[in-house]
Amino acid sequence: MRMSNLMDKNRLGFLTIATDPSQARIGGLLLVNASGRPLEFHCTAAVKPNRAQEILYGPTLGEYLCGEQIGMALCDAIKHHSSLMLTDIPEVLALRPMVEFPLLMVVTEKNKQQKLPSQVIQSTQGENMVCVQTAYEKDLLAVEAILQGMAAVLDLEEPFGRIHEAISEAQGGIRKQKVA
Amino acid sequence: MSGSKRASTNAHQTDIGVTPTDLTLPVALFSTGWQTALHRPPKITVHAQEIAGTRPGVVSLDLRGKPLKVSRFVFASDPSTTADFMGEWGGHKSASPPRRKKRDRTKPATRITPPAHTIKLEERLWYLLQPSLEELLSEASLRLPFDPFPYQIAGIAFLFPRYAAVLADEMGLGKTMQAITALRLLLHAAQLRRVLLICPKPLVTNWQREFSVWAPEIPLNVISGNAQQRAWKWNHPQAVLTIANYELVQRDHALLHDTPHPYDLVLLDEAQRIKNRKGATASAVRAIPRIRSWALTGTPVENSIEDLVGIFEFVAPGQLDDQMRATQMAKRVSDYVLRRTKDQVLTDLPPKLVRNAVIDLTPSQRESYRKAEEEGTVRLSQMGAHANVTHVFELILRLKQICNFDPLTDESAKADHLCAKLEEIAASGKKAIIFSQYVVTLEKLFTRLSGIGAVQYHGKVRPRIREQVLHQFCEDPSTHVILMSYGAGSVGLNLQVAEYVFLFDRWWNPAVEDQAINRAHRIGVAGPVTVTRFLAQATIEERIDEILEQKREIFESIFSPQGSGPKNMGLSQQEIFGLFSLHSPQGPISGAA
Repeated sequence: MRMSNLMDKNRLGFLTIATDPSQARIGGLLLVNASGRPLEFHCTAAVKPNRAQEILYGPTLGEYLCGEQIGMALCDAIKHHSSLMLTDIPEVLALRPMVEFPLLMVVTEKNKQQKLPSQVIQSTQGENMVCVQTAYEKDLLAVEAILQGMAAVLDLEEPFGRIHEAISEAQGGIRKQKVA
Repeated sequence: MSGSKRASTNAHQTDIGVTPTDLTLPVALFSTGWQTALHRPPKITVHAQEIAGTRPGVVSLDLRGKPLKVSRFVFASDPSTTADFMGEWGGHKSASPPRRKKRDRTKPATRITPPAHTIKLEERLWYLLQPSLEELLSEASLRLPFDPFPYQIAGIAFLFPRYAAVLADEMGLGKTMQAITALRLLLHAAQLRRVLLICPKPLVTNWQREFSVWAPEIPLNVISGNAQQRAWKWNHPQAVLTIANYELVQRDHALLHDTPHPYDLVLLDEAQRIKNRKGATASAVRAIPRIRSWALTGTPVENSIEDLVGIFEFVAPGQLDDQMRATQMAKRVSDYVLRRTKDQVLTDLPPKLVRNAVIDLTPSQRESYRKAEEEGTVRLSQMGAHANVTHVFELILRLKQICNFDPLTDESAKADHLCAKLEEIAASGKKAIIFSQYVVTLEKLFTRLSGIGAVQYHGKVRPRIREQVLHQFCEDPSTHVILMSYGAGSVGLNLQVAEYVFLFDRWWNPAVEDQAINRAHRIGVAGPVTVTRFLAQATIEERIDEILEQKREIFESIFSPQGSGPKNMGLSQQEIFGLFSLHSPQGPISGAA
């Protein structure tokens, strides 16, 4: 279990995963302050499951890859600590038992079509719909309190778009550095 | 079987008619060994067979793989502590984050894009990861008194990430507001700490006024007073935004250049002031230690494209040189310069109606004009190759003044026409601006127009009174006319109360005339602006007008890469001499070398 007693109410994390043309997954995490301005950004290298993992993890591969591998690596990279983490990837909810801060999924047009993990509860936060694992229903109360202390009408979906752009930029920049 | 048993069988068989046979068979006994064998324990050979086999090999798969590599970017400052500059000047930091007003999500969001020449990845990411400008501006601490136009948001997004920028919007589109808002955002994001704004002297109060509207929380430090007072202000350690005019920057350049800390941003208003690279003003400005360089100008090319080179020596030294062609220059400046025109972005702005009023000179004016032109042309012809541009300008000046007022009788066809128009304008409660190149002309017009409430604004009006003059024109309903010289009145002033503009005589290049017209035709104007350009028929004014019309396209050739017009915005020496078709016995006179 990730140990953190630094519940800084002014820092909000957004975690998403992009897929590159070779179907590898790249995770990105953006930490913002109360005004939505960026404090930290972290992104992983591209990850693709090998054949053994595909076979042996079977239907749980998504949760392992997105939650345990990518999600955990990104959360470990945070310097300032996050009081709350939001994601738009349903599989990342599997990370919740491994972290101490509330972790919610924001329901978007894109992930609405996907199958949600079993045992989730939906709720409305401002203009957004969010999901939590049933076992962590208390996260809904925590997030309401935290969001009240931030910008009252923060668009919870918008930062994911920024992260995708930043991932593309970072991947391009890292490739140029390697060539240099 | 025993023999006895066998015999009885035979007796029985005789009774029934069967011939008995001797069935006594020889019997021999032999040992089969079975009895022994049966008592012998069986002989069992035991062979041990290993059936378990070798232990199979085990292949372990580490499904977790190697630890995932993560690229980390921690940005330098936490913008939640950006209100430091307010605290130092007596303001207060709010304890909790400012509440944001609800943003209209149906409107598109303007994102900040790093310029192409931003190389550092961390910097590029910082800009990309900013919230949209609309989100930033919806914070309570950054709220604006009026909603910006979409093109203004785009202009702010253009300036925000740039270390070198020229905002060259047409006059009247709100360059001031865009610059103030962009630097305000940077101050709040802790990207700026010390800013220097340099502007023409008449515009200092204008900027103070604009800051009070668009960024009232930013403390201003205006350089003024005697040398000692100015030195104290230049060296003020906590000054956030310092405003100085070009003349004081030149005078105090030693103080500026010796500063221990560079300015985070130096912003030039009416940046065409430094177009002359060799001038003292340009040198003083270029030498100011700074990190970001922004320039605002509605006329980046006043006379020739070398003007733009001069501005770029401040903004991005080495980026341009005057040997470049216009198309090459356009490519080089594309990432640094943003220019929009009213036609492009303010389709809702009331139209600007420009018309020429072709005036017949009065008989006495015509006679004076004829004599002066004849005498002047003859004199120039006699000078031959010794005639230079200065001599021609002197003649042009004299002729233009005659077109305005006859030197002998003071008659003026233009003034008669103008007065008639102004009476109508005043009667309808409207206001007008009249521009002239000559203060003498303005003073004569003032005498004629005193009955309909006129004020003057030119070089002879003391600076202390100029603000009052402007205020009177804008606020007093009985003041209908302001008489302005191109030099004093063409830059930076907001006079959108006027719906009529008269160009009593023409300036040398259209950019300055446009700037003059845009004192009125700008954001906030109530209705269409009618511009009347006086032209004295069959005079040099008509000839100059024809040439200047052709020159108008040159400006666009810099900003539309397909154009390839001539380099010079003003009249070339050949064109000036061509105005009089000057000839000497040796052939056409083209001026002294």
